[in-house]
Amino acid sequence: MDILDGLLLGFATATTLTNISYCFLGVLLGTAVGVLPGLGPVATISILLPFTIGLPVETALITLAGIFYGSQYGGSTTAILINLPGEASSVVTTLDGHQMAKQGKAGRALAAAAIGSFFAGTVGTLFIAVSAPTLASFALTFGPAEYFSLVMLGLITSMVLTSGSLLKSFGMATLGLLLGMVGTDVNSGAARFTFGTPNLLDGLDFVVIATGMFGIGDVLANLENEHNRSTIIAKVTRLMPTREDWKRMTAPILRGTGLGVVLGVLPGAGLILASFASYALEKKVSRHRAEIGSGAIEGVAGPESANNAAAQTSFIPMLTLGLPATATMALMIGALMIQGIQPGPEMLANQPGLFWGLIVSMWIGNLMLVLLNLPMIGIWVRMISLPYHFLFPMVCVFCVIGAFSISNSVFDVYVLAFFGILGYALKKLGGEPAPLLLALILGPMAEEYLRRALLLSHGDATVFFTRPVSLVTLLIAVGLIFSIVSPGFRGVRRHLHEGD
Amino acid sequence: MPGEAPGNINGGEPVKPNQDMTLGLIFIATGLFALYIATDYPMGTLARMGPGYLPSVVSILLAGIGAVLVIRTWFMASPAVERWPMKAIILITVAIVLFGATVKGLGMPAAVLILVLVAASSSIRFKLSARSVAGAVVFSVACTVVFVTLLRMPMPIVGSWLQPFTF
Repeated sequence: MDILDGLLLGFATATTLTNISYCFLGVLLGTAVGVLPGLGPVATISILLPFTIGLPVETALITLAGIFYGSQYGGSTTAILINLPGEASSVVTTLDGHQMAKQGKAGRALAAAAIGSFFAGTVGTLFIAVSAPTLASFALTFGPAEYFSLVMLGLITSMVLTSGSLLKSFGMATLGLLLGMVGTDVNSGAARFTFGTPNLLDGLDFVVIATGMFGIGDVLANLENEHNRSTIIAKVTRLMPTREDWKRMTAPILRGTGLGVVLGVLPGAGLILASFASYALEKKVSRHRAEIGSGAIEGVAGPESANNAAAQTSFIPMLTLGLPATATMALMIGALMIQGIQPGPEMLANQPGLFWGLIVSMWIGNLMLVLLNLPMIGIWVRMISLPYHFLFPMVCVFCVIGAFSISNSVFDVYVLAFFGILGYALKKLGGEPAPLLLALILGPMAEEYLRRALLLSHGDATVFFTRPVSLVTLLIAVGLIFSIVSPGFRGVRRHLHEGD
Repeated sequence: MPGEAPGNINGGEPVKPNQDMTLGLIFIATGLFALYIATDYPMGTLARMGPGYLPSVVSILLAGIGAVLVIRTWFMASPAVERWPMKAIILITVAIVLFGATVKGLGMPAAVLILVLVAASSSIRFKLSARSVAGAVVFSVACTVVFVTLLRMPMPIVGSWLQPFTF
């Protein structure tokens, strides 16, 4: 199918009245939950994901895309207004964004973020539309050996780019693999690690664990620091950027978008890399580089564009290979699988309406952010200023109802409580939850591909090294592990996470 | 040995558990436990793996990583484990478990009310007052309207325990 035909089909799917209203609702809810301090995009999406289950497939996905962008933007809003980044990739936004807010330019910073994000989102969407079909047809030639190697690369990248000790991330990912084995083994039908309870036969639900570790876990972490929470919120005044602002932010937006589009495709942590790279670039090449760090619009527009472009292109590994590059993408894949869709290269051929509908609705979601969220900033500010002791019981309720509603099971509510505490405890001991989550969803895929590859090669393990794509993928993975040991890269990694 | 309680071996100084050691021990315990279970499943061969093959490999790997973490603490300092906010941990858990235990019996609004009030009491800023209870009641009614009436989630408004009292 031609790209233009595809986009037209996508528009036809995404712009039905139902779908567009749900997209709007998704953006609205995503922003509303995303601006709540202490809730990053992963927590936001996992809390809201269960409410899309009853919807038809296309509508559910479009709503999710809305939630995804809404939560990203909500994170930037809290970063600018109260200096609290929802996740690592919006750490950079706090640097100049919050400075601008302090100088009474909060509205313009928010506008710069929204406009930059919209432009970057548009370019990112076009990039996906152009490249995804080609990549998907290339990926159709991949066998189980290639897929297994790609899964391993994804896992290793996520470990390498997570903050904290590599060994601990390795352990967390291994724990995730083990948790992914709970349930019925697809090949033999044997029940594994079910402790005799039928509740575990279908395995542990990914969304419940994500909600527990990120939603409940974050509540516990926030309660711990309850007395030293700052409640100073910058006032939002003028929203419209001045002519000077427009002139100053054009180049950074273009540069940031370029960086983001390319880096976002990398599995693991393209978003973090993109926003940091853009900030570093602006510091070097911008005409106002001296002001960066003390409230320059370039320092907001560039990284926010890069972040959003990368958020967009991080859909590429998911759409073409069915592999999640980040914990957020893993949730999106989880949502697809709940709908009975196995994402991967076949999706484009078998469900073109869904594929193109999703791509177009990403763009519509971005447009809605600019048109609707910006004017509603007053409401978001009021949500941010809700005191935490009002907020967190509500967060608990949403987590619990979300966990319950996935399969209407009380058992999942108890699983939620268990993983809330486990996630909090492991994090306190230095174990980051993100690699665990990614491994949990990648694990069953990896096992399936590994077993199939070895079955096809009659137990010959060299199959992973004799097939070129598989070999290259594994070499990249090994290179990543070695690079982290080198002192230069260590510095970069520390720099990436100094804001955590 | 009398007088030598565990955790009191460093010349009377209580040993504070450090992060790496604790996490390592958790990994070792989980890995060994999983391995113990996994050995019951058929192993198969490399070409035809049984359901026990990879679980065993991954369990050993996890225990191995745990062992490295523990051994590493002999050479590398690791920060001590900070105090656990036990009040919040217990109250939030109890709140969620109570919701699970009561949602079918008492119904959604009552279960949400219990969850909100028990969870909220873990905050240092929470005071049980007419105002906070009223707020919780309003919130649980709103939740019921949104989730049960509008989104049609299969949760009872009046639970099975309360059925005999309805008209």
